Parts: sequence; structure tokens; C-alpha cells
Amino acid sequence: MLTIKNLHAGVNGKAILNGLNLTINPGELHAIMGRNGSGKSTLANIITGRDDYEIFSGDIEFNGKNIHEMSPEERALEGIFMSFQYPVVIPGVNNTYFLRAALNAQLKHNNQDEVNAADFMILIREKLKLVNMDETYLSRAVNDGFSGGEKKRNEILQMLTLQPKLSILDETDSGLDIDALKIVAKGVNNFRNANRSFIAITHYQRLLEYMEPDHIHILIDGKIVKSGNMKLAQEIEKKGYSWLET
Amino acid sequence: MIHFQQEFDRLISSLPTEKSAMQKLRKDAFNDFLQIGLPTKKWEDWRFTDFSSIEDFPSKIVDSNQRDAVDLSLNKISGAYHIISINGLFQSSLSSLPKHITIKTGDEFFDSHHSVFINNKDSNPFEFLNTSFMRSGLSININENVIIDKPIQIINIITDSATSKMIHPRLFIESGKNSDATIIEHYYSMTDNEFLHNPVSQINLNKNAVMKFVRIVENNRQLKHIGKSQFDLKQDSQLQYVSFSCESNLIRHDVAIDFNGDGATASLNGLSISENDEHQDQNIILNHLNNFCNSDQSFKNILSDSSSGVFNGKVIVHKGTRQTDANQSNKNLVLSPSSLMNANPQLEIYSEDVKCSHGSTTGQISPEELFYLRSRGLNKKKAMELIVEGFAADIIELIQFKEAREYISNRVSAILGRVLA
Repeated sequence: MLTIKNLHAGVNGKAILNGLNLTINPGELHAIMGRNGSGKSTLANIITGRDDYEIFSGDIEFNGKNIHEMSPEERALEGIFMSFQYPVVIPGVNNTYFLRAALNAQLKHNNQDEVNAADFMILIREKLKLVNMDETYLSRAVNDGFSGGEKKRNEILQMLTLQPKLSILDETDSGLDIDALKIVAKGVNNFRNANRSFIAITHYQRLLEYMEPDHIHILIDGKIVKSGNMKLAQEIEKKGYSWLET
Repeated sequence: MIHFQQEFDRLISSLPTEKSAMQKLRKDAFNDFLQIGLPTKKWEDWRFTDFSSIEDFPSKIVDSNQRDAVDLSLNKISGAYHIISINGLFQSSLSSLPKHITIKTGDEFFDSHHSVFINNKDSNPFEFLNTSFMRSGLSININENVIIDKPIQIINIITDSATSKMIHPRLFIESGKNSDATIIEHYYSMTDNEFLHNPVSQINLNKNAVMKFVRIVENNRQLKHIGKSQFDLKQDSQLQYVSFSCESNLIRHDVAIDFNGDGATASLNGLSISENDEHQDQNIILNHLNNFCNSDQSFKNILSDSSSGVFNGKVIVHKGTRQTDANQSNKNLVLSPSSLMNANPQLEIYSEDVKCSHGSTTGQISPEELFYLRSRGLNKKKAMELIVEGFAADIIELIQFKEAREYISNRVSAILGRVLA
């Protein structure tokens, strides 16, 4: 689904990713761990196409298409989604209106019929239950006045509604208490199937206990220095990262 | 100014039967106008707006008798009563009036409310100009102890298609004690010619009266709209004011609020959208003259192309007043690198028993907000529309009357559709 080859990339001319290779197949969940500044969030921003982030060399292919020249919205419509580490507050923009507009953009892109307001309400109410959010959400502005936990659950709600092929969870566990973490993990786990892939970026092993990864990668200085399974995460939890540094 | 003089002489000679008191009022006002002249860059509260185009304005009073068939369907807000004024004349046959109000125009208005027309030393030149040239005027008296069941939309329409005309509407509203009403003061132009619009409104809220007031100025690219709204709030009265202005070459609007009784509250809000090289100047003065009064201000500008804007807001808390709570906020969204905003929020506090806040921000669309929406599959234009509409929505949603809210929302969407194209 996603193939990254020898990626050198950064922000404002500064190199952050230094020869990163990663292949993600349909149905897989890959966890990426690393210290602050190791390039985890840069990787997420590069894949989603944020302004100011640029690819110096290397390739990123998504379902066989090179995505370098695609705008953020084109990538989203192709099926790439990011759950933001810091979800953005957009005053005055209603959640329901925004999310229906986003879903309809997706449906239109896939040559499917757009969903009308009434049908969308039925759909969104179902999804709200999956992330334990109440209906007051529907009349509020995007992330406006949301607690940290509500913001993260809103990200998952958007993921469940838009049904992306590849979901990047950028530190979705940070700032969550254990109950909120369980809700988020449950939302993700129920959404997993053989066609959907995930990248979970995290500092902590804790998240991985609730959503089992197929692979774990350790990122140091913009490169994957070691890959493994849950045992690797447990080792990191005990020993930190320094033993992996050269 | 020679054009104003010529037109004034013509007006006076065309009104031989007008009462001498009225003629004196006009002449005094016109002399005052000539004496103080038009605002210059040296006038503190006027310096960001260039009035030189008014100086040479080849002004002719609008032809009140010119009245082609007018299609009002575009401007009438449904679910409201309508008071229609065409080219400055009240049109009884086109209007629908609620019970419990009394309307007066012309001599009847002037005779019964003579004191309203006496300008004081604080009047600005355009108030003098209005008194000099005003025609029939319109006064609305709302009875005591009544709730007007539907909003009243006062539509001021210009249809005179000749160029370089001017009009000086005069509105007076007396809201009886314990009354409750919604008023929409709507200025709309059917022509696209250069026009000078110079309305003056005085609105008095008596004891415990509630008024929800909406003011709309729109639809003439060549319009110069220079207006003044004065609100006099008696004890425990409540004013909720929302203005919306767009599509005009030059707008200068002064709002003055006097808290003339304890416990009065005012919520003042406005949304201005400017395009091309349009200029909008909003000047607010709140006089906290009594105790336990609250004021809340929120004014927003959206500026595109090479347009410019001014927000000048002054809250004065007078000596000896107690328990004033005054908040002022001004936020401006600049959509183009060539647009310009001048913001000047001011507090003057001469009392110790107050709670006041003020702030002003001017910025562009946040790249974070834009990326967030685009990362969900919305294209750049749609994402920008959502963000700007969201910025505007904070003000529009304060209008309680749904149809008026929708009318303005639709106008905003239409403007953003072309501005963000």
C-alpha cells in the first residue's frame, strides 16, 4: 500500500529524514517509536503533504502512485488520513457541516452519490457511539472548547467517517488518560481489516498494548535503525533508546 | 463644497411653503457644516479615511418622485413587517405595519419631535449635512408595554438612476417603556451609479425596553455611505445591535451609545466585508454615564484585494459611575497582502469600580487551519470558504431573527464565492 524508498526530507531546508525505507502492506499496523526530534512527526507531515515540508530525494508511492506532487486534499481523497498530534481548533466551523462536506468530497472523488443531511445524521450518530461522544458534538465548532481527550476522539471519529485506506495516528495516545486511550484503541481496532493499514507514531509502549502492531520500527536521526515485534517495544520501555545509537 | 452650496440654495428656493422654523433649522445646520468643513487627516477620529471625494462630489438631491416599478422581492426579509422608503419617501401603500406603532413623516414628524433635529456642538459635519438636506424623515413610536410580534424591516431603496445623487434619510425611533421589538434598518441601492448616502438615526430606548437592532448596508459599488446612529438607553433597557456592510466604495459609520440610566446593557456587533479598493470605517463611542451598565462589543472585518478598513472603538467610563462591565473585541481577517486595516480600540476610565477588557487582532487565514481541513479532502477554496464563513458566523449567529440571519449568511457566501475564487 505504502512504499517509501531512501527518503531524504525535511522542513524549511533542514534535513530531518535521512534515508528512510518503509513498506506497509494492506491490513498491517506499523508502530514507529523514537525520541522527540527523531523525525516521527516529520514523516507524518511528509506523507500528508503539509506546506513547508519537502522531499529532497527518494520516493513515496501510495497504491502504486507517486504522491510527491499531490496536494494534501488529493492525498486525502486517495485515502490517506492523519490523526493530528495537536488537532486544530477552527472557530465558527460546525463539526457536522465540516465532516459532511469532507465525506461528500470523498464520495464524489470515488464517483459515488453524495450523502444528504438526513442520512448523514443517521451515519454520524452511529459513529459517535463508537467513540463515546454525545450529540452536543454535532452543534459545536471543530475542536472548539474540546478537552484533550475529546479532540483525540474527534480525530478517530473523523477517521471512522471518512474510512481512509491508510491512517497515520500521530501520538494519538499522548495526553490521554487510560479510559480515553481504551476508547480510542477500541475505535481503531474495530476499524482494522485486511484492506486498511495504519502507522501509529508513539513515545510509549502503552498504546501498543491496546492495539497490537504487526511491526515496530525504531527511528533515530531520521532513519529506521531497528525493526521488530512487541518484544522490541518492551525492550525500549526497559532500556531506552541509547543502546540503539551508533 | 460649491456643489453643496448650489444644491442647498436650490433646495431652499424649491421649498417656499416650508415652515420658517424648519428653514431656520436647515440654514443653521448648513452654516455649521460650512464652518467646520469636511474631516481632514488632522481630525483624530477621522484620520484614516479620505473624504476628498466628498469635497468635490457634484451632489444633487435624489429625485424623490422618480419611482419606477420596484421589485422588492430580493430585499424583503420574509416573516417581517416592512416599512418601505423609496428615494427617501415613505411608501405607505407598499408597507405593512404592525399594531402598536405610530409612524410620522414630514411636517407631522418635525412638529412633534423638533428637539431631535437640533444638532449639538458634538455633531459631526455629516449630521449637519443631513439636517440641511433631509426630506420627509421617518419616525416610529413603539407603544409602552407591547411586544411587537414580528421584526420590522425598514427598507431604504434608491432607484434614481441618475449619477452623483445624494440622499439624507432621517430615522427616529422611540421605544416605549417595557416594549420589545426587532428593527432591521436596511439600505439597498438598485443603481450602480456614484451616490452619497447620508443617513442619521436616533433611537431611544425607554425604561426596561428591549430592542434587537440589525443594520444592513449593501449593493452599490459606487456608494459612499456616511451615517450616524445614536442610541439613548434609559434605565434597565437592553440593546442588541448587529451590523453588516459590504459592496460599497466608502463607508463611514458612527455609532454612539449613551447609557442614560442605571442597569442598561448594550451588545454591539458588526461584520464588514470589503473588496476591490473599498474602504470601511467603523467608529464607536460608548458613554458609560450611569451605574451597573454592561457593554459588549465585537466587530470583525474581512478584507480582500486592495481594500482597507478602520476600527475605532472608544469606551468611556465616566467619573463616579459604579459597577461598569465593558468588553471590546475587534478581529480582522486579511485575505490579501495589499489590504490594510487600522485598528484602534480605546478605553478611557475615570471611575475605579469597573471591569473592562479590550483587544484587537489582525491576521491572515491560519495555515494550520487550512491544512487541517485540506487533510480531510476539502479543496483549498472550499477550506478557505469554511474558515472565513466560520469567522463571520460568530457575528451573524448573534442575530436572533432566523430569516435575517439567513439573508446575511447568503450574502456572505455569495461574496466569498467570488472573493476566494
